Amino acid sequence: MTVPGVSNRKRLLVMLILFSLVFTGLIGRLGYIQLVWGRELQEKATGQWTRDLAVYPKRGMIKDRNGNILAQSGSSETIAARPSQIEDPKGVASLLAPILELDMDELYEKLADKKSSFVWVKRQVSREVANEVRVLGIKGIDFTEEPKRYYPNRELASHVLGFTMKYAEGEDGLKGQEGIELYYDKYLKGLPGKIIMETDARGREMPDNVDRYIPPIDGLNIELTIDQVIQHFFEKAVDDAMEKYNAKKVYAIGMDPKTGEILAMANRPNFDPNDPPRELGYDGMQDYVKNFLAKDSMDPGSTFKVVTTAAALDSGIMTLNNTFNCSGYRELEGSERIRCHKAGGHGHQTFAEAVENSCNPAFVDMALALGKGKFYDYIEAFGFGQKTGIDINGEAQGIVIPREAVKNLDLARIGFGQSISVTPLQLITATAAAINGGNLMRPYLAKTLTESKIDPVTGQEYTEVVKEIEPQRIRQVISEATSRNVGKILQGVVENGSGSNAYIPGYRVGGKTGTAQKYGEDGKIVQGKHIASFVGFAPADDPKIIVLFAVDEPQVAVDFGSVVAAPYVQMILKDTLPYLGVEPIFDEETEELNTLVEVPDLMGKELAEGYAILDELGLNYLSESSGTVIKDQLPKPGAKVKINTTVLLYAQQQSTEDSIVEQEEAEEGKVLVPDVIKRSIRESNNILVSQGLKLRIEGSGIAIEQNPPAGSQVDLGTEVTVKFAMPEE
Amino acid sequence: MKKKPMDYPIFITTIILVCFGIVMVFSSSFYMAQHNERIQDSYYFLKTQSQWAVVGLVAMIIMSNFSYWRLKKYANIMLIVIIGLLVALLIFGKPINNAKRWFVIAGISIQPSEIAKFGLIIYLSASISRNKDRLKRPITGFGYYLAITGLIFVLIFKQPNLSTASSIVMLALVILFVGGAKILHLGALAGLGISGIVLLLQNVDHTDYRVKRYLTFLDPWADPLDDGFQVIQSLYALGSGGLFGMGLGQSRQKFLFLPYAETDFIFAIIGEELGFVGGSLVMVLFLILIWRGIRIALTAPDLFGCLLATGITAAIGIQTVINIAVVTSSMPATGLPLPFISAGGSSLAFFMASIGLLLNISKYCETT
Repeated sequence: MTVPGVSNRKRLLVMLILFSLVFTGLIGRLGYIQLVWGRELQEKATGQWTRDLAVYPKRGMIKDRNGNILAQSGSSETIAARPSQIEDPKGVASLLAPILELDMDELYEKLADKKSSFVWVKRQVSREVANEVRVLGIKGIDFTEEPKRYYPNRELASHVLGFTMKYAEGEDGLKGQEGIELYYDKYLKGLPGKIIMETDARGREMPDNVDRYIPPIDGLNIELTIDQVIQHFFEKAVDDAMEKYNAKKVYAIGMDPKTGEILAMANRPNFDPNDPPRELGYDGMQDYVKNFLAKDSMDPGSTFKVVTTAAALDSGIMTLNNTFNCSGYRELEGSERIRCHKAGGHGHQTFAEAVENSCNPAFVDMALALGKGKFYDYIEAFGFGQKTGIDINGEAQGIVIPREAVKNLDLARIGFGQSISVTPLQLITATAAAINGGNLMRPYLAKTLTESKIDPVTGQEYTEVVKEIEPQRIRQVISEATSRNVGKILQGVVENGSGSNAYIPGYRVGGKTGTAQKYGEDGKIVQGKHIASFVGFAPADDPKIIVLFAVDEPQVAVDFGSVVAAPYVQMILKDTLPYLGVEPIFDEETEELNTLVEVPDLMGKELAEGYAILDELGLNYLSESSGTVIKDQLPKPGAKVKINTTVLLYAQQQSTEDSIVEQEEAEEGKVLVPDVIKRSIRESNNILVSQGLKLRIEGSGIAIEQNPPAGSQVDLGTEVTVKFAMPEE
Repeated sequence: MKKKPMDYPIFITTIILVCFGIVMVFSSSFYMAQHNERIQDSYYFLKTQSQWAVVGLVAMIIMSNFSYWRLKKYANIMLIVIIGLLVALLIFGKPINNAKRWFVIAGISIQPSEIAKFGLIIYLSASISRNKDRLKRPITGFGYYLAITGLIFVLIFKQPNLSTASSIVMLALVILFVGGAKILHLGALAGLGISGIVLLLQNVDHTDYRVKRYLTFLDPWADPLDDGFQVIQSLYALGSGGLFGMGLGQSRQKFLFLPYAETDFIFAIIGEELGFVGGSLVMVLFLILIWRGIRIALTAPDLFGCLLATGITAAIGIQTVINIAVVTSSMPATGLPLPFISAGGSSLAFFMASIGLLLNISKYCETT
């Protein structure tokens, strides 16, 4: 038997020492990993142990200035699939395709793609359809809720509101794409929350997982300066003009001239933000979704003469006593002739008459008298060539020939609104400055940012104002005195001159017509194509609203702004002024201009008798009747009105009891709600306003439902909600 | 020869390790086993590991209760048998995961390389102890043993199973070293080996993916999804453990994040659940085994017993070191289980049987 020797034993000791050393090293390494590096490693590990599910916040509402909802968010469901978990893609495809109305082969291809971990099956599915799929309980089919944006008034103010789009696939949430939705996206969208759950490596929830929920923060609501009712009036007017003149585009804008608040903004052609015409592609869509009022510039034409007038008077270069001679043209040095629109000329005119006649030579004189330096100072002060600063993305700034490059001929043309390019928004903002006391205001759409909150005690929802956007005066452009004079002159334009089509009895309306040239792509004037426009405001001495209305390429023989656009401004003002609480005033000034008749007292008379009396006096009538006896009328007896004015008669069933009750109620300052069923929006508004009530519009068309119902007794100023719908054929 | 009681520290340490292993195998495998479509039984690995532990215990008792030197007589036959088994495996074996490593007999899978490992220990110990001087001869002695070892290396390498093959070579070298091989020969071999490695490193294409794989352990985040994945997950587990661990059963990494959590990477789960304290204690237990094993080799009554004890101890030590080095990203990833602890039936039984043999020798040791 061989016995282990000394050398064997020595070597065994070497072996023991080596193992001990290696073990010591490994324990050191283990200690380093666990104790020194551990924190960092654990952080990384934690990241893979949990899965975050984003919870999307509710996008804020957009409301009009009175709190009517213009855009709100709901949610729809989306069906997604995890192809790696689907066992029988063919079977699943054949099961789902008919329910979801999808092509079976395409769906199969999606589901059979084992390489992708996640695919959308169908987005924006109604809850009912989603539930149909849900009950099938197919493994690998997932459901998520997706936000959807609703615009309850469809086309109403679509260009102001804009629209939203979905984020790229794999993300959720809505992104503003145009209008207010885009400009205030970061306020509207809110902050996403998340559900954090512990999962295994495959993403399966852990057996004892407790979800941690970080709630999303909903987006802020935005209240606009837009008034839904006024917007309706505008929409109706532009629709009418579009149809009547078969025009290329029609646009109108209404603004509070003293604050710059935009009350209404309408463009044609338009679109339904619930379903924007995406199929046209980005460029094709622009024809429908672009807000031309802020993003397109045009030759202003004669409407620009307001600026020239204001500049000439404010600079002191001219006074109201200046006179002009018009021989039908003005010849500038270099034998360039500028013709007046009136062939034989206007002859001798006062300053005011020249404006009323919109006489081109007179404005050439003004521009040249001002000279480049002064005229350009005013043009710039009125905001031309600069953005107005309105809350719309991609606002255009128009084109003004650079001061250094401008020649006398250009200056003369600018005097009457050519050789300068402005946006309709710039034009109305500048005109507002000319008549509001001389202040250039920043036009704006968003008035208030609010946050919807829930009272923790009562559980009731309430809103809290986060930010109030105040009117912003950019600068004083002309003196208050000049502004007053400009207002007076422009009132003359409507009462005596080219703007007579905008005249409304009992109101001091001021305004200026415009018929602008159009330029082709070669920069040359296109014959026979014009933009007919009118800018009007009322009351002239204390303007509450200013309206710009433009018809691009009206298809009529006489396409002057005075003929084409002015009547629509009149129509809008006629609707809007009473709504804004501006009562017609019939005083000496207006009396001189019109044959006035006194409104007879018809109360207590039979309806038919009332009609006859009004007919005789040459007055129109509109009756609101649930009976035959006239109970009330507007205007009230004794008021002096112009011929053809509409007198509103309110008739009711004769009954002594009723009349007593009614009288008692009336003493309490209450009114009876009139019946507006089957009336148009405009008629409804007239009827309700005449009773001291307010109209809240839902839908469009003719009235089919109202709340409170006709005959209810309500406080003055109560809002009556009327549902309108298109009449069925 | 007079019999003494067996070496109790080794026996107790082994039992502790095996029992602890069963607990850890269950802890690290139950979620995986439940969600594995072919198994779907949380207790599957607990059951198989327990069964093999019983088999191992029986083998241990048998192997500790005969006169160990009788093995000497069968050494040559054993060598022929293991070479035959390995060759047969290469020819008849059915590949599992592209490797022919197992013979499946009646539903039980046995790794012939496990048998080869212990067979070679017995063969080398017997052959060297028969003629102590033979080992000093360069060709017929040292060279011959190297050739035998090389042949087994090649046969296992062909399966392919580089890690087991390499560990067997290391093991053989330890036996040759302790058995009395000339330092000159060992030095020459080491020189040859080092120059071979240097030559290899110089000629190797570093962009070759196989080479990159061997180097990922230096920076596993360079390739976090493929080769670095296991190692990163292993480090995450250890890092999450800290000093005292997340508590027994509280591992997060075992929820399918860490692959092979119940076998090759079980030490990472131990580190995660029991922390640095638990991991170090396990390593100390292995060190106790090594120390007692070497002590038996030192006091063995004959050279055969001495070398046998050396081989068995080296086998346990080398495999432990490699496993822990891989788990701690200290060397290239290879697939060697942790002795006594990792799930993997036959390996546990063979290690327990070899402990039985060690206890057997301890009964004949000289008192010191």
